[in-house]
Amino acid sequence: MTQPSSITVIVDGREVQVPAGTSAIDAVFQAGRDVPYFCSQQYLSPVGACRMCLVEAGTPRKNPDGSWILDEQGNKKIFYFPKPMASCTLGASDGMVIKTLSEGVKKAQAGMMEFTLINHPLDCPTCDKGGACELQDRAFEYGYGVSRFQFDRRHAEKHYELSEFVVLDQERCIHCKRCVRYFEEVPNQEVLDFIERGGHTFIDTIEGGLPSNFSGNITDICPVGALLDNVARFRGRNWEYDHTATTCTACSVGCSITVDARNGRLERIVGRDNPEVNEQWLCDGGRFGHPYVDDGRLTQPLIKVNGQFRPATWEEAIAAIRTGLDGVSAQQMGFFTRADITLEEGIALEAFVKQVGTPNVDHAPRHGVVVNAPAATLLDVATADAIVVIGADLSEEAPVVDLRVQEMLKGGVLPLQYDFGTAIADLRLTERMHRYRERLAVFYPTTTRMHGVADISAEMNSIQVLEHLSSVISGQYAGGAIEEAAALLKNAKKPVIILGSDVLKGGQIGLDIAAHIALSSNAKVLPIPADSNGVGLSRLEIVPQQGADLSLLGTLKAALVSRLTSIPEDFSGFLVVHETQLTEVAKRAHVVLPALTNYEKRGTTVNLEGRLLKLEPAAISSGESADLITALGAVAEALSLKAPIRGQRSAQKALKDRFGVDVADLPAQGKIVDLGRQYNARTSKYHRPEVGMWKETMLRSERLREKLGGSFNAAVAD
Amino acid sequence: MRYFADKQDVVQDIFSRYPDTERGRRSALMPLLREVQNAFGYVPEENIEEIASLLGNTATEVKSVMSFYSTYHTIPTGKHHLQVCATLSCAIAGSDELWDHLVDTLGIQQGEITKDGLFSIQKVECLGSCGTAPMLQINDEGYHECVSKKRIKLLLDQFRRGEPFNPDILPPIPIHAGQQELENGLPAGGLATTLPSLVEGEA
Repeated sequence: MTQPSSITVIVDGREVQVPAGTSAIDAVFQAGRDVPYFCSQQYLSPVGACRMCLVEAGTPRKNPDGSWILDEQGNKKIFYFPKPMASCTLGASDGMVIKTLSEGVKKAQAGMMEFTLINHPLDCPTCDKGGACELQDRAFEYGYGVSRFQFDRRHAEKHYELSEFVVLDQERCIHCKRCVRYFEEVPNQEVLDFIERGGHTFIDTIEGGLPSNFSGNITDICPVGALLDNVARFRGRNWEYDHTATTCTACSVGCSITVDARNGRLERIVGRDNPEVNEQWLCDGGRFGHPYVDDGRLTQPLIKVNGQFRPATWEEAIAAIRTGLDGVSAQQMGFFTRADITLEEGIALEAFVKQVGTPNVDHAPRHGVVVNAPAATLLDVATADAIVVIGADLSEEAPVVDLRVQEMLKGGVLPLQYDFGTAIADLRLTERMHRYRERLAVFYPTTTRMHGVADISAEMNSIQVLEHLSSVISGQYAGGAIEEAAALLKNAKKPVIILGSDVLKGGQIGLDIAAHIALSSNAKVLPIPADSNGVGLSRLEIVPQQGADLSLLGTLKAALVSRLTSIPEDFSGFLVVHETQLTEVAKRAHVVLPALTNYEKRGTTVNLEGRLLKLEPAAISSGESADLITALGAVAEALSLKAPIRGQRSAQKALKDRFGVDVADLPAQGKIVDLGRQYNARTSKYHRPEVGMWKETMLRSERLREKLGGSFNAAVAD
Repeated sequence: MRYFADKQDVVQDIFSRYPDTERGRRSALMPLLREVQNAFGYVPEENIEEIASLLGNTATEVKSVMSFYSTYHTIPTGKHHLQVCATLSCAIAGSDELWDHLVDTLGIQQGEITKDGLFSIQKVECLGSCGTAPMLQINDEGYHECVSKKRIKLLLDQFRRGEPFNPDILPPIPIHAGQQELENGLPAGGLATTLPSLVEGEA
């Protein structure tokens, strides 16, 4: 790839080198200066709607003979634009001079600010955005401080529910058009638009609410308090929140999030910039699915006495476990966890079961398969020239991957990265970009959202798709969409095959066919794991190699079950459940240990690309709840053993010895590490992944169920 | 009520004016809206959706374009839709009084229709006839200018008697040569000097 040619721009007297094609606003920020802006957003097209980023700009000119036009001093004469220019839509050119501090610029920006504020209600004291509002900050920095507008302000609907999750305050809207552009450009759903015009303009949809899955992002990008997260609304002021930068583990994508907690309660989740994973976007499940964290949480151990639970201390719980495990041999014990635990918890479990000497260990949900083909990253997906999706309902199983595919459809233009971060206005992004629909093929047994945007699509059984695709690649004829998809793969330079649960649940045969297809067409493969840390945990020996898997729980005498939503009915032994709520499974337990949610853990998770991402504990009060390492420590104590891994540090050391990676020192955007050999084992119905965006755990919250319309059920693969 | 179901020729004609691409087809939005409005006097909700499906975009977008223009109506209008100019020149010349007078005499507000279904009123922005303020436009038929209470009374009575409207001046319609015809069969558009007079009686 050739290095883009570099140009020199002079910003307030400072020379700065930027790649050709840079916008003036990015040149200004690259030079370390600042201009206010509202309508520009890193991953959206620059449109120049708010007119706040005004600068004075000029360029030198050449004489007809090619020499530069000079001024009296013999310097290149700068020809300024006659009016202040919106720097977000102005392309920087070589030798351009930009002034951001001149009197003219200050007056223009302050005047624009005054104009923007004319109809703004200035209800900052009661606005959720107060303290984190771009308009508030910019008005303070660049405004006059007073308004000359003496007339009635515009009055409009202040509590307009665009959907159950997003509330619009029409008075606060400054018409920057970010949300309107977001829906068209990112999820490709043109459902929001300006209605009316001039000062009466407001944002609305007549599609009957916002479509689900990606609507919450507009609350993040709104530069004012117009679009608000209805789950977090009125629950805290921005400066009261404890912000924790961590990773979402609702699905296997591993989006970067900021968890905001107030007084020990998780109140809000917002997206965090990670250009390599989620850019700034989240799915609605990841954003709004958190109320369960504070809903009916267990804060101390429970012991069942005469069929009734009574609260207990950890010491009492350990004593109860000791009694329960009395006379149970290691071979009759089993340890089963959900597959969203951290890598640290995973290696602690692995070490513990080895110490105990039991082969009965398993994690669920999982797919008992190994894909022997080059792995694709999310950037590969976004910049691919052909994508074939087989057996995945992407917008449900791994929603943000859907958005990266949408990016691929737009030609895979990724905003440039500068020293200050992602380009604020990448001029290559435009409104209503051409969608290369012919580069996408989608196969799923039923119609998915992706079918609507792909030129090649069919409702087909996934194994059938793989077999036909494989035979076409081997030279036979299958016809229809399969034939087109095969041609697409064959002619592409950077093809990616995305495999979803409908393929992965089918066993190794389908995967071998998929690997064959990938290798014959030079395609990279992105399988979607069954749970958030599926990739990481598959590298640990916590699948039953000889012992009982989860479906054989009934053959055991005692088991520890950590946060599983279903276990076999026929188990009648001694049950210790490590859970966040008193679920149906927990009710069957003899001892319940309170568990931490992934928002409260420190550790490492591995996303679907194999990227190691950090989890940081948010300031959520959960009583005596503990992670799996501590829960295993309790069982160890009950067995009079000393667990080999008893905390973060020893877990990190074990991971370093095992994988050669220092998980305490991961970069903010995570790091893709080859974790080596993958372990697998056969699966049963207890290993089936949840394939809906709303997870069973999230739906424990009454508040969320109400918003989703009463009896909403999580989708599990059949 | 699907309007275009039995009018494939009309739809074809409108689409044929624009490039046959995903983007090009979107341009047909305005003429399709106009077609519906000419038939019903307004564009009903269901036809917004119908147009959206014809264009392959969302109803929100159609509504957005439509609401930008005061000439498209989302609610039914009377047989004679009186559009009162309320911009500066007319305001100085008394468009407020004219508006209040209309509201009083007709007994309706903006968005309502008189019981006999004859009249509806709307405030609009400048219609480009500032020299003859205050003025109003009747449907798309033409301008009624230098309006006074007396002239309004004469006009309303004339409409109530069922007589046709004799505009002072036809509204200017921007047209390109050769694409449209005037009612008298002459080609519309072309050089200003070759244009037939829009005002009856003048050479």
